[in-house]
Amino acid sequence: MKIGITCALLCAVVWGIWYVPGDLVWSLEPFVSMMNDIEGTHSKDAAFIVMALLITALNATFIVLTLSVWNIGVRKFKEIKRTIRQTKLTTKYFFFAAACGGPIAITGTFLATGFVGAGFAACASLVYPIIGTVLSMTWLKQKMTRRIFLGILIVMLGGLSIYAGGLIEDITSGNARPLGYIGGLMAVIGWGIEGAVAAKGLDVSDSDVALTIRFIMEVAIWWLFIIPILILLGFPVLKYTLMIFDPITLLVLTVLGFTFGFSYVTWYRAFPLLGVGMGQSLGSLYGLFAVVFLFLFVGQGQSWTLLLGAALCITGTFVMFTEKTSRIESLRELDSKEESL
Amino acid sequence: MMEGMPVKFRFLELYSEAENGEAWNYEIIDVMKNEYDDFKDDYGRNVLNYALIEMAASGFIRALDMKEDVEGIFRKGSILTLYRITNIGLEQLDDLKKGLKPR
Repeated sequence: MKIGITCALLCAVVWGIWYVPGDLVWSLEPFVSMMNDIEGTHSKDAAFIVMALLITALNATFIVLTLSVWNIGVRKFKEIKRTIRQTKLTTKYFFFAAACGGPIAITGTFLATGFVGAGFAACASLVYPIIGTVLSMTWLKQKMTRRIFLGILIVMLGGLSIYAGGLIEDITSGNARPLGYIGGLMAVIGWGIEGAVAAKGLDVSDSDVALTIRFIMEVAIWWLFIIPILILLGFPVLKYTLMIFDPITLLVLTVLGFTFGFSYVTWYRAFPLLGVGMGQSLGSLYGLFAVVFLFLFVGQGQSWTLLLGAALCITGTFVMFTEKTSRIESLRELDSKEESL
Repeated sequence: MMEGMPVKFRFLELYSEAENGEAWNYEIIDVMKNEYDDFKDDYGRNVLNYALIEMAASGFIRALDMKEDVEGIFRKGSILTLYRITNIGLEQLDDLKKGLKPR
């Protein structure tokens, strides 16, 4: 369990760091020129959505590159080959996880950011462990102790508190539009389902292998379906994709892929050891680390709600961490005769 | 049936075939090391042991006994664990057999 908690906390830290290149990439060429170009021929909203889709597709592509290097280091290529062939038993779950986590959840987050606000998007994303917890208990039959459940609730309250100021401002500003709320819902459902579906495949797969297959699937979805559709609709996506080879843009995209890839490595390693609910909840501490790193590297200001949120997140983590290991040695309820040591 | 399949598939089968469904981690890992040439060295051994820990967390096998490896059978100073396959593990193995794509 302690290894699992360490993995989940590492995930939160690296996911938080990801927001720094994730913020920077929006102000880089060729993305800015592409946005201006599409704004001139279509609309500002269309330009924003297309840019979000292209950045997410590139993010997934650079994650696969990162994971390729990672898999050379951990020597899992043969196991990937053995696992990917088992489409009914493993790969179908990772394909579904990819569809939920990439095009649905990340696109939803971008829609929520663009059409309501960043505060709302962050809060919406932080609620996803509820879906993950419910699915893990009902579908995967993973057990949940009262203490762990309490810890999850406290961490989620902490996450919501961190972005409370932004949330209130977004909702009361009068600029919010329905598409943004749909985006928020897509993020919650997408990430929540991803965790549970991936955990089903992870039961019988190696976590590094599962993750690599999941991102190969996501890259396929982007470059074989979504990006070609954008090209057919007349958006100059291909033209600007071929212009990403500027050293600064490549560097930022590489850091983007490295941080997101590594956060997913630790996230997927946490699921088999902690269960989906606890793994997702601890992973959602990224909200806390994101505001800290954005403050340190980008200078974005923070409010008192951050301190309250941070205190709640730390308390919730402590509550989970102090659960007796014997109670959650197995994620599933064993027969009474089968109780572990 | 599960030879050459993903390692957790094969682990489940080996435990289901073991006497009383029980085996020490080092015994079963030795069998795996002979079958999978990418897990033959010390690093591979540790990867396989980690897979067993994940399977125990999933409820497919359970720890019956533990002892310190004083003789260096597996890795000197490490914990040796005796696992037994559970009913959940046997059900999972049945599901795997139904959907398995042969080599």
